[in-house]
Amino acid sequence: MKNVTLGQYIPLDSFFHRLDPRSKICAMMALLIAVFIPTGWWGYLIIGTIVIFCVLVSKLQLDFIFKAMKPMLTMLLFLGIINILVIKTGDLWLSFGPINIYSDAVIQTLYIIVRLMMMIMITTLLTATTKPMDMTLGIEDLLLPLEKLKVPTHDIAMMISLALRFIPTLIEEADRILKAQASRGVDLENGSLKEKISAVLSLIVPMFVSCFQRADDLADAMEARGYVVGAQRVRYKTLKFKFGDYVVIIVANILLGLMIYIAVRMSK
Amino acid sequence: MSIRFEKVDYEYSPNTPFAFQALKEIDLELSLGKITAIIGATGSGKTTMVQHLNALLLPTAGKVTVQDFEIEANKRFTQVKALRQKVGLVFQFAEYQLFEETLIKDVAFGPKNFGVAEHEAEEIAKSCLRTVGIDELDYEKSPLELSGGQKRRVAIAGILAMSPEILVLDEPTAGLDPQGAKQMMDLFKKLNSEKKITILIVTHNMEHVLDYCDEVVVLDHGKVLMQTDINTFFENDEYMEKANINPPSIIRLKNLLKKNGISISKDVVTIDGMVKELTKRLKK
Amino acid sequence: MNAIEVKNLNYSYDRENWAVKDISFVVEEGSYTTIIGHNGSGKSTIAKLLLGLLEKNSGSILVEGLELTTENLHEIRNKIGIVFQNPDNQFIGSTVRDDIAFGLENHCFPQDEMDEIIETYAQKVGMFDYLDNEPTKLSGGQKQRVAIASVLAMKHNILVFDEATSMLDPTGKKEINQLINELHKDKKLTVISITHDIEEVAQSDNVIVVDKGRIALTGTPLEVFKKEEALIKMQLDIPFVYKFRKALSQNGMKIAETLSMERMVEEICQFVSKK
Repeated sequence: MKNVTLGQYIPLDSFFHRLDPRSKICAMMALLIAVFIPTGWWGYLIIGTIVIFCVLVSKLQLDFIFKAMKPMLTMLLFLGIINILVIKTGDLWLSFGPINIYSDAVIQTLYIIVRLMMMIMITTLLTATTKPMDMTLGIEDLLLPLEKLKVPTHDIAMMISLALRFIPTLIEEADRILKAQASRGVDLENGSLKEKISAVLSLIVPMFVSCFQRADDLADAMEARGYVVGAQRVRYKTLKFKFGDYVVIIVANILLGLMIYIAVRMSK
Repeated sequence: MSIRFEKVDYEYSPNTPFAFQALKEIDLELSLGKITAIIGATGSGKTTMVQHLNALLLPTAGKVTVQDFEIEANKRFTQVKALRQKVGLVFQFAEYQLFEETLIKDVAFGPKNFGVAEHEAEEIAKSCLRTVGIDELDYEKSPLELSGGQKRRVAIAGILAMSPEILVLDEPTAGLDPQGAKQMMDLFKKLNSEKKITILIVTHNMEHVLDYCDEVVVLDHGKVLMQTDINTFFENDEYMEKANINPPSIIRLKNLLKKNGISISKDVVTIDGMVKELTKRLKK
Repeated sequence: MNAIEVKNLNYSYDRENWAVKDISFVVEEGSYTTIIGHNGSGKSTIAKLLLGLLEKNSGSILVEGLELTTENLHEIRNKIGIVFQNPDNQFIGSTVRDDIAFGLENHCFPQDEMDEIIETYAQKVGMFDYLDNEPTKLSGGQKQRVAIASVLAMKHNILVFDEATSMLDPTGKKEINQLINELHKDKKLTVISITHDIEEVAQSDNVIVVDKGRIALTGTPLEVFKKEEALIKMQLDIPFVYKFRKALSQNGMKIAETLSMERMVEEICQFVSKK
């Protein structure tokens, strides 16, 4: 359970770690859109090279990113099989008895795999180089225009930051309860359905009880320190755009423009 | 028959940026039938070490032997269930593991997992609840209705219900009031002397170590710093200094008296004994 | 002026059993008061009532002369702060810096002064070098020190500790007790500590013993420990030094009353050399 890599912050010092979270979020959005523009292999080659370059600049290890992709493997395999069974256009490449594999099916699957890999790389690049707290600040600032529509952006940001703050604590707690119940002979893998249900309950019920306890304590602690929902607060941390931030946003948007251009050219 | 650690290493999250070696070449032999205290500063590896005893953690190097069970690094250990029945592990803040609607059902949960029939499991549960001193009127109550100390007793009953031969307790008295803590320690003493259960206690409370334990193991930064019987430990200042502990009050008093020129015999560690010796000195 | 005045306070969680029943007490400005009682005696409920975290059923609470009502909670919480038992559940920020800032943000301190305040109080509790650490990288004792800094930073005059050391290891306990003593040294801070640590009680100015929601005993530590039998009946501890001195005097070695081990040893030495 302690090996979760997806979405984890890696404390290093790099150009990307020092960027403003807002510029990183905006750049990520632009790149994600760019990935979904049908540009063919040339487009993917360009984005792919840039993304891998970015990962290297961020000092993250490539195999760390690949580890983050592992959970997706089964899903991709499943997608591949469905594509092969459903898509029947293009040249016939292989045929075993009733199963015929057409070129379009393979190419479509490869497209999806490449896109997904790039998506994961881009999002990991954001989450691994941005402290959860900074991410919340960034999200809060970017959502600020919604305040006019009576969306409680501050409360949302507070909720996100508390959730992020307590994730490690709760993972530790879950680990302890899991071990405590394992010591009482709970076996999540074997046994009948009824036994499995009671095994799962033996984990969930204590987690709930403990979460409520923590929430109670936390509410008291926050109130005692003068927190009032919806009241005016002064913010300690403010974000500031630096030169690099403008560069990143501009580069990302140029890239997005380029992809759109390639796609338009291709469709002609 | 004993519990043995041979060159045991344990590393959390190996091969990641968060890798942390919690145990380093632990060599240790514990004889059965005793009450052993495992002490050491926070982060010295006490909890990690005891979780090897029922195969919740498997060594990353070395070998752990518990009676006839052998748990070796890089080898599949297949008798997990049998081992967990023999070694009962009570976690810190054990009250958080209660989840059933009634105390009886919760205590019976363990034995049922090990294949004991429902009716029989409930009989065992009743007798274990009695052992830990829960009132019979409360058996059908929900765990949520009990006080913190009572809940912890129920959790301990839940482990006793599997009739373990070795009972491992990770800071069983943390957060209890002094009286509650004392009752808890008395219970362990009783289990040890009446049911001959081997008891290992991870603790920070030196008064408890002095009053209840036979042997002490000191861990420091994932290594065994020393292993000795209680009397030797508390008779030698250099041992306590090395283990970096706060000596129990009576030992502190003894040392302070000695500094002021009044020495008390080595083996006297009770208030009555010391008072007797002091007053005898006056009569001379 | 009294820091706190509680008069005929009543509180019930379920409207059947009184968790706090007709409690009255006074805490002098600059004093160190400990509240003891076994688990479930109602002592933590008192702490929560003082902060207005629970709403009293009847009675009155005056904090620095200001009566606590539902309207002036924010003002009351500007005068009195609390450190709770569980170090994890009161760490609100994602780093030490953010956690200390949380209270300042709520009380609308000017933003350009925050850094200075945070650094001053982090220094005061010895956490300056850890300002950018996350809670997972801190020990329990360190987290409690941060909690203390967070409360001090809001410049309260009254500090309540609700079993703040009961989940800590001996090192953490010692650290926090030393810190509290240091903060209280110049008698500017009023300290109210709810505790099980009988040695801490021995060092305080006043003790309030709570049993079944009522005040059973009050007085200086020596006065309270004299009611030994009553304390034992309420499942409370007696300090080692007190027990030892009593055993000595019962065996014909009468020495002056004290709760300090050093003093007692001096007395014993004198007694022995006189003979």
